[in-house]
Amino acid sequence: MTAPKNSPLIEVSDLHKAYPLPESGQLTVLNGADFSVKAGDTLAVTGQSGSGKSTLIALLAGLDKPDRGRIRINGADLTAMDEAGLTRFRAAHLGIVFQQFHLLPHLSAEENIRLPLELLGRPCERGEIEALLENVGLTARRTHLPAQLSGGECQRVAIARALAVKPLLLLADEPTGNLDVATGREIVDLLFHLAEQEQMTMLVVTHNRELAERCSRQLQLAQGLLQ
Amino acid sequence: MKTLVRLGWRDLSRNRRFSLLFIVNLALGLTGFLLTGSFSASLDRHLAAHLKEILTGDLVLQAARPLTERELAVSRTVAGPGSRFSRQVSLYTMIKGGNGSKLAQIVAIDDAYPLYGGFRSSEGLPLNQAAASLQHQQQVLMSRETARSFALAPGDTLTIGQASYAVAALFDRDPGGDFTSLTLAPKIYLGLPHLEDSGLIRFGSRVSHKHFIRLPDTVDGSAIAARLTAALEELAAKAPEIRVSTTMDVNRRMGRVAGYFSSFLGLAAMVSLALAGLAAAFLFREHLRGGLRQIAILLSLGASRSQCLFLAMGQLAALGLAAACVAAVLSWLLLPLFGSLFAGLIPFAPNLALDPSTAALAALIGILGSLLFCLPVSLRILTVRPLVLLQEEIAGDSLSRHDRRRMVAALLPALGFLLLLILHLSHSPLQGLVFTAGLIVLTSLFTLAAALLFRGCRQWSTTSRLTWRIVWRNLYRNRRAATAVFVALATALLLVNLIPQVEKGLAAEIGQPEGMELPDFFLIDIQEEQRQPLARFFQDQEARLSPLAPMVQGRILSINGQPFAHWRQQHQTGDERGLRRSEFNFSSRVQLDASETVVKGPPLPTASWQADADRPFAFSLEQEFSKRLQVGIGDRMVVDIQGIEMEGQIVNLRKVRWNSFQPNFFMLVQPGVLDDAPKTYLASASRVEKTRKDALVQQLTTSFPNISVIDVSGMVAQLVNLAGQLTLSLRFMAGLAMATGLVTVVSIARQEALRREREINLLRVLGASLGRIRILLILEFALLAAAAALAALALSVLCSFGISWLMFDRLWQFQWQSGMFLLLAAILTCSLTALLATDSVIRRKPVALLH
Repeated sequence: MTAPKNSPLIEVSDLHKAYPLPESGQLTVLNGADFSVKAGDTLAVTGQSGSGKSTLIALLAGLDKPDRGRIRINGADLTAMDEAGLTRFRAAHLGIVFQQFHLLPHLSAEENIRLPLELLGRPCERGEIEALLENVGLTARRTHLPAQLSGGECQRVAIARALAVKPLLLLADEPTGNLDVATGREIVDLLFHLAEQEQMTMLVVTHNRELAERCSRQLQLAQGLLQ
Repeated sequence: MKTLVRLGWRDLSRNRRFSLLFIVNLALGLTGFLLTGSFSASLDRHLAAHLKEILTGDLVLQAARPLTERELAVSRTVAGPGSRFSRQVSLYTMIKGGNGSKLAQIVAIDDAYPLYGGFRSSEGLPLNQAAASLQHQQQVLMSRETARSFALAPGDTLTIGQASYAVAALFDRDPGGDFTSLTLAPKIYLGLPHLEDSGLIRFGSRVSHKHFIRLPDTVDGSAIAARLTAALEELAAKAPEIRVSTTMDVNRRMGRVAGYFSSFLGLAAMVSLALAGLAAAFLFREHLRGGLRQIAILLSLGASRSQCLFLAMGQLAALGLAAACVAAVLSWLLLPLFGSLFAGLIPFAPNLALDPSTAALAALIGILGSLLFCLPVSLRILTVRPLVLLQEEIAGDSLSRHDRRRMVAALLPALGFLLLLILHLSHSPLQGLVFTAGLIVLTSLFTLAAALLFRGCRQWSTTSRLTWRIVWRNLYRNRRAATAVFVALATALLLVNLIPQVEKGLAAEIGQPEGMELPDFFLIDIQEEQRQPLARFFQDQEARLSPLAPMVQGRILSINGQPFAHWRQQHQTGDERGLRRSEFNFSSRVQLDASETVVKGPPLPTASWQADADRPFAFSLEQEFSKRLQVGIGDRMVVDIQGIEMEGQIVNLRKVRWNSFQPNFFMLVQPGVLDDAPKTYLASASRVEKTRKDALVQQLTTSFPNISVIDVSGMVAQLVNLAGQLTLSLRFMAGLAMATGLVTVVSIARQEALRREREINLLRVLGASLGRIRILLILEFALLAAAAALAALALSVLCSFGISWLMFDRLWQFQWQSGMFLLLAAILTCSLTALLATDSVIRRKPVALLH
């Protein structure tokens, strides 16, 4: 499924999220955030630590539910879905890249990439996986376990895994946060190259100014609002 | 599905130590179950295949007198055409052999005996010719062992009563079988036509008359038995004197003896299984803690929770099945050893083999047990949120109150499953419930003790000494894991220590009853006219003869106006020992023996009862016997004593210490009741010098050939040996429970070390030596073991006292030696096990901290 270019892919309105504090009261993280992202755009969300960047990405990924407000992705209302619906939507239309890679340690690079397709029950063409491995430059490391790969290589596998289902939206949470500067730069190049190649919408949460500047749009999260 | 299976398999093969520990732990728990189950099944198979040979017929008619021609004619009519009969008469008597006199059971048989089975030589060859010759010649057959004990060989002559018989042949196996290996005297077979020559059948001789019946194959034995019982009862005007037994009765009796051991062991095996379940849950909890991140990743990639739950359940089922397979192999290897533990307990050697249905059940228990014991842990998958992937640490323990409640509720299926298994193994709902309740109470007590202990640890952790401060804090901080170690160790140690506590008291009481003098001999069949000469004989021998107890055989005709046959039909208790017969021995004495006490009701009147009095005479019943007869104080019984009907009323119940080996009776009557009845006497003899025992028996049997002498020390040795065999088999099970407990320690110690890897690394980075870290671990686990052992010892002392009080007539002795040994062994083993389990973690380079 693809979204027509320039039509809004993400529509977020009046998004609220607060967490209860251990003793009493609550910590408001999102306080009526509104924004939209067009299909094919790349958006960087920046902000200080604890500003709610990860919360925003969790809500967009359907990993958490907002207290109030609406999230639409490609017209589908995530806030109206139950957990099973969110799981199905995430599996079919979203790709997520985590700061800590989160690869399954006992699966090889190739198996990790293949996993989302298998979970979806989609046919898994060998050529498709070959292409993904080639795109991330890991053809020679296909049989290696995550423990046998460097941090940068792990993140390449994670990117390939996120792209395996050909998602509408790629969500990346601090994709260079666990990498050195040079490797981080390589990963950024790769991400943007693949996003362009696949004409994919991408939302990146980052501290990395260089990465943020490469996005077509930047928003800063402060006091629960996106500016 | 395929992906999930692959994921599950990869996860298990990657976490080999977890998988191995889980399998070994559960396999040990299942081994006990498989061993006892296979043993029981082998026994059942043996009994089913040999029932007719054990009974030597399809039916047996048994009476204390010869059957009349009419009774035999009725029996033949009921048995129908094609049935075959054989006769056997048996009695106990003293036999003079080449090396002294001993008690023997003389079994006189006719030419049709046995209807099933036969005598076999040591080479397994049938001794048909030798058996047939008994009918024509004055010869006997005896076992090789009996011949050895009498110093006889084939061709030698021995005297039975007034006649001499030649030893025709020696057998290794005779037809029929005993119900336990505890035998009063060896059997000597002779031909029925030659029994009279011995002159042993006279008044007062306790003779058993049996008629075996072989029915045509198509005839239903149980139906014939029922018809025979009814026909013979109809013939007997007042009360039946003939007992009809079928192969089912033999099966029941032998099954009861064997079932007693196997259900006892089965329950011990359940403790192992419960411990294994505890360890399995702990192991899986720690495994899942590491796997929560993977679950979150799968959820973030689109796997559903049910798929993740299926993954975990599938892993558990695979591990459970693998454990069952390992247990099957272990049981197959251990079965011969297990069988040898029972060598002295049962009189035959069944062909022991792994039972397929028990193995299938073990596989089911392995799979279902794994799933149910780990259910509370597995349910944590439902609470995993993929959101945690966006956080730095995976928070594993943050459960809401609702989640915790759900986890506690998830324990219930495991408990229900354990209860079902216990009920299955104990064959008695009450026994099973008591055992389960006991297990829950014990576990709760140990958990409470652990909670108190670890609360104390928090207070003690304020000490200024660094090592102790860390040890106390670790125990407090990791109190959940420490509680699991505590409970597992304490339960296993309790079981281990319980056995010697009960065994020693029991053995000591059998060998030397407290406050009682154990006699050397027990004398039976003493005639009226032999009373004075016998007293003089023992006076001359400077030995002590107890007061002679009269014994008269009689029958119960009715209870509270109801014919005895009706009474026993209406008062079936499941324990048929009291109700299967109507003939009993009655005795009378003015003063109770030291081995008996009145527990309910007034003493028997000392005044002599007058036959012409219009009131009933007074009865005293042994309390267990009264329970089997379902009678109590005030109940009236009409008895037939040597042809005279008399009515008596129960005035008191007595408790008898049967292990005193003094002449005791189920029923005592008021003085005067037995005065006119012809009777024999029983007595015990004591204070016989050990070196003079054989000579005394020899002289006694020469002077009083009709008196049978039972060597009490021989019987005591047999009983102690039997108790020893039983405790050996129990120890085996306790050992298995202990091994399971140790696997629990290994599992928990290793998981704890892995969990604390970061902390250990930090200590090392801060300058702590490997030795210091090892000391910390040793102290921690030694303290845990010591506390668990002390709690187990205290409770085992209480439990053993309770068991002795309830089951063995308060026979109890405190055994501090075994307790101390266990305490030291537990500390040493636990510390070493923990050290070995954590070694690889301790040795890892602290550089991991930098990653």
